[in-house]
Amino acid sequence: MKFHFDYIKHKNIIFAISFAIVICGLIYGIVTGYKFDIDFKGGTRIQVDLNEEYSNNDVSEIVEEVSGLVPEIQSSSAGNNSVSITTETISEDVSNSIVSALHEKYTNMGEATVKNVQASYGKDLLNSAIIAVIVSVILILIYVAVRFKTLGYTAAISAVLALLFDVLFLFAVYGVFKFPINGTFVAVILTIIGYSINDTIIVYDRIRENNKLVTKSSDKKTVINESINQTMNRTVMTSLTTIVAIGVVLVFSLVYNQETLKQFSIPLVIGIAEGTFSSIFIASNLWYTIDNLFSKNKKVKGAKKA
Amino acid sequence: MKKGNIFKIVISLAIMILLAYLAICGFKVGDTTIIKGIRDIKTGLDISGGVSIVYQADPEDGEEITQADLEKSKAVIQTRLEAKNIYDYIIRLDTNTNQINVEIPADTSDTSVDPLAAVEGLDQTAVVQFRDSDGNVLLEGDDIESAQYSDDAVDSTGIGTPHVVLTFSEEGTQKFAEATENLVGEQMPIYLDDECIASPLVNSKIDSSTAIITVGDGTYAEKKATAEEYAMLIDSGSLPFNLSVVNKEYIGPYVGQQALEISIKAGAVALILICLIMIIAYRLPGIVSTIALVIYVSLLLLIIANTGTTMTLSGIAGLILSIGMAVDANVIIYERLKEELAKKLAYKKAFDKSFKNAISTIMDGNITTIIVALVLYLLGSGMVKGFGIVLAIGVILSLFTAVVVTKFILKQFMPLAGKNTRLFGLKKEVE
Repeated sequence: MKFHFDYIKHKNIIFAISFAIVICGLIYGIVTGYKFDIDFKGGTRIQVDLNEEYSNNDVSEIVEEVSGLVPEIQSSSAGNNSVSITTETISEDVSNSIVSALHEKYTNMGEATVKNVQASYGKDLLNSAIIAVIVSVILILIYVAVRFKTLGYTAAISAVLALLFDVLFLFAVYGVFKFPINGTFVAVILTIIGYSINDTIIVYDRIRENNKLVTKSSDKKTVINESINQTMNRTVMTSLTTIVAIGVVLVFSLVYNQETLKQFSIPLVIGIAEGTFSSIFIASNLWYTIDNLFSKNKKVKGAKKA
Repeated sequence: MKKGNIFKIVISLAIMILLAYLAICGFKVGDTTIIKGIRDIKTGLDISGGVSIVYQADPEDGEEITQADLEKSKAVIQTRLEAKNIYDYIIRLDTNTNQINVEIPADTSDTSVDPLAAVEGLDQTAVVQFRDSDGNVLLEGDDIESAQYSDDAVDSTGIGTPHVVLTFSEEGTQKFAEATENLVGEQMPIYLDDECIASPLVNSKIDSSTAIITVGDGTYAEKKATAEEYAMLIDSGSLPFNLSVVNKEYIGPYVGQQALEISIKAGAVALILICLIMIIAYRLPGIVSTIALVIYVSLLLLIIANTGTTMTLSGIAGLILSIGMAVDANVIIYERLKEELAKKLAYKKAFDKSFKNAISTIMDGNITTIIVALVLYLLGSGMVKGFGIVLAIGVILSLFTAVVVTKFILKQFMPLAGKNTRLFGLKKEVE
């Protein structure tokens, strides 16, 4: 298939719509509040051996009735019937009444242990992810600046800005859909960054190659448009196969009602689609805009095109 | 197509089938597993659950435990876990009760392995002391900068002996020289947590920044295990206080019991769909990439299983991303090939040109991803590390299968392109 689309011509409208979506999403997320897992916010964990078969839903309902909070229920795998109930931080009174409510239903249950969990694990994980991402972004900046020297360092900056856009977009998605911020969130962000940078590099690679081929008369605009259009088949195919792969996981998680897999595959599908979008419509357009800004300042190029 | 081409294609198919079989079933002789398959992959805390242990910090009389002390203990426990190749752990601190909760994955179905063995030594304070025969402390903890395991020969026999190499700090070196000078002809016992682990005889003053501890009797394997344990404990630093175990229990998976099984099923279906899409879009080259992709996934699973890499949900994310990258490499090559064939180049020239152009593109995309993966592995903790390692292995491996394997097999098919470009996904109109 051949694509003929003028990305540069529509860049302002593309920027306006995409930034508006992200900003609205972020504002909505912040206003209505983000959902954090216990390890990212701290909370209370009640552990007890119920000594009889139970269903997660029953336990969850009991806790919700007493405390008004929706708990996370984790069962034990070792064949006994112990259960771990996680909620927001609650007072001793509330945890006591949860325990006695459980006792009413599961009369044979053992001694319950109640402990408060601090957010240190989640904070560590987030910190470690943030540091690792910052360092890898700096290395990507250097790599792109060196390997794509002919495009100027503005190309590297645009690539990283496009990544930032991806990350902000995901934050917006998590704010709107109220997916919990937890370890899965970290994995999703990392995956999207890895995926999106690859997409952007592929387009840059074409621009670099076409830059070598074209005569001086073709301007940057044409080269960018052509490069994106030429790589479009590849972009569509790769995104399609990846989205199909994760889409299958999503379908399976819906069929088997697997909460964590849902939390994992829904944002990934949205994220991969968005990462593809940003590589096509954001990264190169940003590069065009930023590069022109710098060029105009230097009063070298650009005048002819206007 | 020549006979040689067909022969090479058949060989490639045979290798693919063999690898896929090994990845699914593993290879066993009697009861011993020689090659581990997909069922032997270690799964992480989030997928298969594990052991949860709560330690209570016991301060010395009258001493207060500070947040900093707890953080230090956590760092020491972390180092010890990672020295045992356990990266998939959760450590939580409770400053109200001064408790440390450690969760690590454990396979509760395999009764031959004690899941609690992995946490042994985590609660040891690991204070090292060099004493004289009267029990006076000559050197201790801070004087030692590092401890490393080694099995070089320690005497003139040239036979390797497991031992621990201690490196002293500057101050430690000085103290060691003084101590050995005073103790010539006497023994200088070395204690770990008040237990004498070695009692070397001092022959002369030793002015050196290193010292070695050889371990007692036993077989080579026993000595090796002991020496490694000592080195790990000493090197991780000492805990600021004693820890006692107040609670040990098994915990269930975070993601639900079925998650792994569902992921495997979903992965198989996804692989089939990807291959179908590739075959529909690229015809013959699509079949080639199916072979390359099956080889890729099989090799990746074999590497993960046989290196004992722990698979977590984040690892599965890394796996999916790396499959995406592997497919991407093939897509890039095939799109190029289509372009070159459409230019009516001779098939050999088109083949060479498309690979040459595609490889530079693929390398740039993959190297940036490898950079990200390695940084995540080196700087990340817990699941970030797990994601990084799987992604790094996957991308490096996919460079091999998507480029080398694809090139090898596709080359055998190329003579067909001379006859019919439609087999390569070109439409009539383009020809």
